[in-house]
Amino acid sequence: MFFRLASKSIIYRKGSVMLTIIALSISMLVMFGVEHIREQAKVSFSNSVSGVDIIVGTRTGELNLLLYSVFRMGKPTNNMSWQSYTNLKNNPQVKWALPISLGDSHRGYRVLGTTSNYFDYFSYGEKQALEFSNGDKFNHLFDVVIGSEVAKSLKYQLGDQLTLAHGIGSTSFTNHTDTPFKIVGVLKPTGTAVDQTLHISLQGLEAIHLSASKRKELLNKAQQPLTNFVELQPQSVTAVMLGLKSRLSAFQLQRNINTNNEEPLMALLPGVALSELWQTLSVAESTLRLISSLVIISTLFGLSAMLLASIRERQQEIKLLRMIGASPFFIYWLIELEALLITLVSAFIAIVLLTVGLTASKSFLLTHYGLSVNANILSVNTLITVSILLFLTFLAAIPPAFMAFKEANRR
Amino acid sequence: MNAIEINNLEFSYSIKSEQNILKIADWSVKQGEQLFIHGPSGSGKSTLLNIICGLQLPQSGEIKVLGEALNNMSKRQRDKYRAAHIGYIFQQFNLIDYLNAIENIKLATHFSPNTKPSTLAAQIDNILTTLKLDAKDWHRPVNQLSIGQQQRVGIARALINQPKLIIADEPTSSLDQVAKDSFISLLTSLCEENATTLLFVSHDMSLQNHFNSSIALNSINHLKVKN
Ligand SMILES: Nc1ncnc2c1ncn2[C@@H]1O[C@H](COP(=O)(O)OP(=O)(O)OP(=O)(O)O)[C@@H](O)[C@H]1O
Ligand SMILES: [Mg+2]
Repeated sequence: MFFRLASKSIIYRKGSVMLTIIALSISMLVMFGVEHIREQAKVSFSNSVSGVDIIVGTRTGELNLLLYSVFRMGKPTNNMSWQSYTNLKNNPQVKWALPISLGDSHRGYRVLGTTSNYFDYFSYGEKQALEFSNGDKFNHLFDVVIGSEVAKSLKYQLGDQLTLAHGIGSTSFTNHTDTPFKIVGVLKPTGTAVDQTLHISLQGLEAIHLSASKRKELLNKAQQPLTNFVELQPQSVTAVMLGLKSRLSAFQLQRNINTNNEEPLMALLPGVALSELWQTLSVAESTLRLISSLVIISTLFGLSAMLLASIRERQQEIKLLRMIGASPFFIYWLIELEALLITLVSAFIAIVLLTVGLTASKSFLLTHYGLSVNANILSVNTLITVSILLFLTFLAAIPPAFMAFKEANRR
Repeated sequence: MNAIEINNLEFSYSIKSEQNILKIADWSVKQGEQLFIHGPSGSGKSTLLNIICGLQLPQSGEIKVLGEALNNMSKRQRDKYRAAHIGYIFQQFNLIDYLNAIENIKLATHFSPNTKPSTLAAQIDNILTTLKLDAKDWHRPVNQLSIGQQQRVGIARALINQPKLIIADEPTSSLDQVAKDSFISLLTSLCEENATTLLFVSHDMSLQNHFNSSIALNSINHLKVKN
């Protein structure tokens, strides 16, 4: 009955209650959203580069190189020479070197040109190697290996043919059949940017950019091994990912590359660069958190004021409740419960909206930012935040509840 | 036995002003009596009813309701006692706007120790039928009911705990003549059936002949109240 009384009372006052609920929901939405995406981004980002010791590219901002080469965010970087790649590969400290070439996309998904040992060396998460759910690595000029998300959302299967065209993708009608790539492998989900990537050989990537007549010639030779296409070896690549024999040498190698005068190159340690990124973002993050906290606090003041005003209208109700035997404490807790219900409902709305929003934007975040977010925001942290908010609500409701208590005691 | 007994009662709202509202030497109401109490506005009628309900305590003197001395009870005990034994009908606002008729009646049983949940629904059914309230109005928010219907739900709410004492403070002043008469005959006949004591306050002297006894507050209150 107590609960019913409070909930019906809130519904009865829906006009003013609604505004409070909207304000509270929005600010909680921002609060929970920022917190959740921040956590998910941290996990997703560090998973994506966990297996790479050093990334080398041309001199641009460290963050820009990292974001572009791994997540394809930010401005495209200049290319570095093939010669530099070979030098790195032959460096005694280096265990493996993976050249990558970016710049093209297929229906919104990025196309990555690399060597076939990419699938042997690249690892993600807690040092997990890439695995195929179907098929195998690329061995021919027009072979493509796709990430799980690409396969899922574009409904591609092993053996399917797809067209890759420079910059434009499948919307191009002119060179439709010119460079028909065949899917030879589908990777298992990794929860990283790999899932949104189409992997082809560097030679294949080079072939896309040739003139139409040259491409036609190549089509006839497509079944030959990749090593036969020496003329298709690229002059330059976007970046090179390095795995070291010993991680201890990372800083030294980084310094050597950065100070090398042959070509202006930059080496970054992904872990270090990422923590710098979080540092930079933490200002924006705490600003958002501060703003949403301030909004929540001022809304709670508003809630308090709204309830205070309502007590004045509810004198008759209080008198009646007293007459049928309700104690002043009953009335005190009735007002408290109403306030707590308002906050609970707002938290519920915020959580539902956020979950729906995340579910809806999941694939957008994945394809555009390589960010895999879990739509389930119910974590211990959320529960703690909600509890703190309920406590603040309890405090905010003390003045109106106390006023109702006094009103009840007067009778 | 007497339903109400008052001895040397003195009451004022504030200790500072020392202006007494009530000063009653000796007054009692017999069990089962239906008493009409009248008096000018501001003479202290509602104040007296509040004291009988245990909402206010007199500064001095003794008040016994249904054999229990209210002076000796704690506030909490008086709240319980009121819920269990006294049914109250106001001039208006007898019901909580945002609950329907049934919920309003249930709320009154929530605070009373004599509620038996097993028979409650049947009891409410019964009482609302007796009060001639259409079943379709039972689940409507009470603010959609007419004033007359609301007052009848008010009677039902006051009667549901089968109190030994019913107090009505000008319950008919917002009703028209026909509704007034039917309201009072309903109330008095229900009280008679259950041998419930009824205190009915009004300044409308035309209602006096519905009751077997009547009294002017000023005749028992030995105080000249300045108006
Ligand atoms: N809560 C209160 N605090 C202080 N004084 C009060 C309070 N309630 C009533 N009074 C005063 O007590 C006196 C008696 O008031 P009461 O309400 O008992 O009169 P009444 O006979 O019921 O009048 P009416 O017929 O208008 O309802 C009045 O002078 C009133 O101003
Ligand atoms: Mg009065």
